[in-house]
Amino acid sequence: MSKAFRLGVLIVAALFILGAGIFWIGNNEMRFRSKYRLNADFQNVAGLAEGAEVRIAGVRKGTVRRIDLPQRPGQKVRVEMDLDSDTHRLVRHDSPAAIHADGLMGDEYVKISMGSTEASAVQDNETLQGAQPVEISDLIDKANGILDTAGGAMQSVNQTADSLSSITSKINSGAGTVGALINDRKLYQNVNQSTTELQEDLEAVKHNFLLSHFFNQRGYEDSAELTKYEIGQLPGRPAVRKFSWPARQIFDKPDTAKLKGEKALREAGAFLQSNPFGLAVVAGYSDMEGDIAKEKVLTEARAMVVRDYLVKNFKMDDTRIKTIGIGKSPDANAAGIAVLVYPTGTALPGPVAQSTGAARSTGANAQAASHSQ
Amino acid sequence: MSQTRSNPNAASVEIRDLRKSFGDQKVLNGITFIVSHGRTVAVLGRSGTGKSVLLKLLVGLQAPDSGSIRVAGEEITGLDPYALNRIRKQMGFLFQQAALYDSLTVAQNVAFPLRNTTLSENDRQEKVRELLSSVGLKEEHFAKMPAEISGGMQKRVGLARALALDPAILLLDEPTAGLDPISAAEIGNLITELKRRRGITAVVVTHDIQGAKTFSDTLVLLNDGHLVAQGTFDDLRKSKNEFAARFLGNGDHVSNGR
Amino acid sequence: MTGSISTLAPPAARPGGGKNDLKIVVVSVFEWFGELGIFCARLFRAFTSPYEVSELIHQCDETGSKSLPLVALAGAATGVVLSLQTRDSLIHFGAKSMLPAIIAYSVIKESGPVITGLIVSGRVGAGIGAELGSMRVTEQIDAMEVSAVDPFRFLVATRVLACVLMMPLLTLCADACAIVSGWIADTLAEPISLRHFLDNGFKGARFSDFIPPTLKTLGFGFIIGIVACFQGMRTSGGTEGVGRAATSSVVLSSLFVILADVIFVRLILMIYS
Ligand SMILES: Nc1ncnc2c1ncn2[C@@H]1O[C@H](COP(=O)(O)OP(=O)(O)OP(=O)(O)O)[C@@H](O)[C@H]1O
Ligand SMILES: [Mg+2]
Repeated sequence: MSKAFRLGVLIVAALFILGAGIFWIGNNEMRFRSKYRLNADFQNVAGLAEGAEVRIAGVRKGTVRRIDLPQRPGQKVRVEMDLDSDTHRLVRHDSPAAIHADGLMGDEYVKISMGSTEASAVQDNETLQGAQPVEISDLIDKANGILDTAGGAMQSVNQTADSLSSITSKINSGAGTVGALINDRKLYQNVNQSTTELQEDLEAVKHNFLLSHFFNQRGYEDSAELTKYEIGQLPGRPAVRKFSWPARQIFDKPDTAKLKGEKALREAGAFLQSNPFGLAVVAGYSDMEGDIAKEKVLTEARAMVVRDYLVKNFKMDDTRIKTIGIGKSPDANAAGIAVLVYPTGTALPGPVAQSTGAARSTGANAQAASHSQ
Repeated sequence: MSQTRSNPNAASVEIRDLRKSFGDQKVLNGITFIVSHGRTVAVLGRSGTGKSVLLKLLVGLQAPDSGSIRVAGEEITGLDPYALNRIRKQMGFLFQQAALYDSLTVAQNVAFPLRNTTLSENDRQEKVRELLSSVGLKEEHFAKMPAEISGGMQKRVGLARALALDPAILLLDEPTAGLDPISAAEIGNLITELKRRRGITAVVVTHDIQGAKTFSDTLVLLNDGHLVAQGTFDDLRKSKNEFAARFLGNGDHVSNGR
Repeated sequence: MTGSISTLAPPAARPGGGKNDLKIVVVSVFEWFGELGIFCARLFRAFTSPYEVSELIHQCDETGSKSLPLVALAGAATGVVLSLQTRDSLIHFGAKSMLPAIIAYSVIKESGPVITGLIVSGRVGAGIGAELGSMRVTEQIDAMEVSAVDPFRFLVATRVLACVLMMPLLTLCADACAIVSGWIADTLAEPISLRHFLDNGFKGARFSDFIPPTLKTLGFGFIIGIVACFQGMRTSGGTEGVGRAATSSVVLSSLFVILADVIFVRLILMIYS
């Protein structure tokens, strides 16, 4: 190796690295791409930093160049952005700008949505209206608010239930007038309405991306689905056949209803497919640990998930397959799932009679009814 | 100045009352002598009297404490490095330890002083070859590193390097030390030849009295920082100065001493 | 001063000999800096024609290409260590996606330049100190002077310039090796493509983040070159002196590289923020 060769290797390597570096960083700074300037005004930039990304329709197309605090209180924070010129045709006068974060811990970025077709294209240096960003702390406040509302609603349900029982006793005792009955009718509607609102609130919480994740992981999405095929209690007669598995064999985590060992369920599926039966009940039960309400929901969900699996994978009369979430069962020493098969002629029990909580309300039942059609 | 009778560019060396000490040690204590153009002076003296120091003062490698050094009529003490370089280009210097560049080959060592000249590459190589043969070095050694040749050869390469710029003034520190009698005689002849052909002025520090006798016009004898005697070999030998007589091996003393 | 380098011989006061008088130490420290100043002044005057181009190329080879394997290796090791350590910490904070950026930034802004500076001051500083030191004690530098070749131009200027020129190149190589090895360590733990890694690493990066830290290595190169040459040129005391020159070149140049880094970082922050 000659001296010149070695030196040449060093110089070429260094120049190459320099070139690559300039390319990468330059890409970021977009020094070498044509671009234009846009501004957006925000009440609050939620920690957005200079150099942050700008995404248009979710595509990274620019950078935040500067963030200027306003001169006086009451004015807005101005965010200056450099955008690739190929986005010029998409960003319109009325395109909203918003600040979002990549997940819980992620960096903030500016999201610019495409404007309406009728609106004129933006000019260089134009200012877009920024939406108030959602901050995680706000979100948590909101969630707390919803929970408070839920709590309030529960109370009112309890109150109405109390009133109802007092009315019933009044009716029973012959007390009350037509006016009182009309009154009662209104009261009844109020009950319906408040529980429906509560249901909506809870669904809203779940659809929030933060919490939906929590629900997804548990293998089910919608609490109304859980009780669609639920029966209030097991039939009085003994089952002809019983299959049971410990929960850890079937589900991926102790607190989820996500199937993992569904192969084990085939035995029951095959039996139901090839043998006539009057009623089959998928029962979820848990041990004595954990929070009662939670365990109840979990066992309901698990029963539901197993039922879904059986119905989807085996041919059988699915109106004859019901679920029950037993929750804490004193005679179970470990959480598990069971399929109980009853002989032909067993009467189909009605839908769940007594509600386990406010979530399973008339609204939910109405929904369930419409689904099963 | 009276001695430099010939042309004004005369390559003469004049030293007046030169003093040099290292710390408390006075090495040179008022030395005065003149080497006129075209003459060769041999500097003799016991080991450690300051002969090498004297040569270094002459070339400006060290600064004297006091006194004057004139080279070709120009005072070199207190000269700035650039003016000094100009004068040095007329001088060739052989170090006592040869001081070859140990990262360069023999030939490159000799070519080193030529690096800033206008000589073409071919001329340069030709010149190097010529110089090395003139000091009696065989071609096979040209490509060797200094560490791969003998001490005597190193000395001869150093001499060739000192001659590279065709200096008008040669300062040689023991050019024949460590050489066999034949090589030593050849070096002596080379100096005589240079003097005859090119009228070179030389100051040669040596312990080789026979050599000094043949190639030098004048001898300078130093002792204890003083110049004890000055003159031709025969002058000194016959001088009343006991040290000079002893030093030059005035037969009686030496043989009596043995 | 006659302009002879010999007058730059080390001060008479050498610690360790007699009483370790504080005064002598202080005086010799100031003397050292004073002589270094004179040395620099002399050096700057030596940057005139004739330029010793072939010697410069030779020195660039010595300091640059011959240090490349070592620097690359050190850079790669830094990258791996950074990746492993940082990954572990980031997992605690749930910010694993920051890993590429942390590696890229910390390598280019700090570790790369400093590691390269220390490696070069170790390898090249010792080399220059020992080389010039032995040339000094065997009178080769004197021989050069009497050949009317200015040792400042031929030996010092070329070495200092080679250090200055090669440092940024070596730093770039060290940076690249560190980032690539950081990526390899990262991708072994959790597969990620190099492209993705680099994209993440340089997200939001600007030239002003990366150019000044690389350019500060020009300063490191100057410090290494000048300190090593100075220590080499003022060597005295035979073979032992050469050893001392080599050691002190390494110690002083590493020390000054680190001290200068503090100043450079502060300066860069002042200018770019
Ligand atoms: N750089 C120096 N620092 C201190 N003392 C020195 C230095 N150079 C020479 N000396 C002293 O000066 C004196 C003369 O030294 P020099 O080398 O001139 O002797 P010399 O006459 O050439 O002897 P030799 O014939 O053995 O070569 C010596 O005693 C030496 O100790
Ligand atoms: Mg001597």
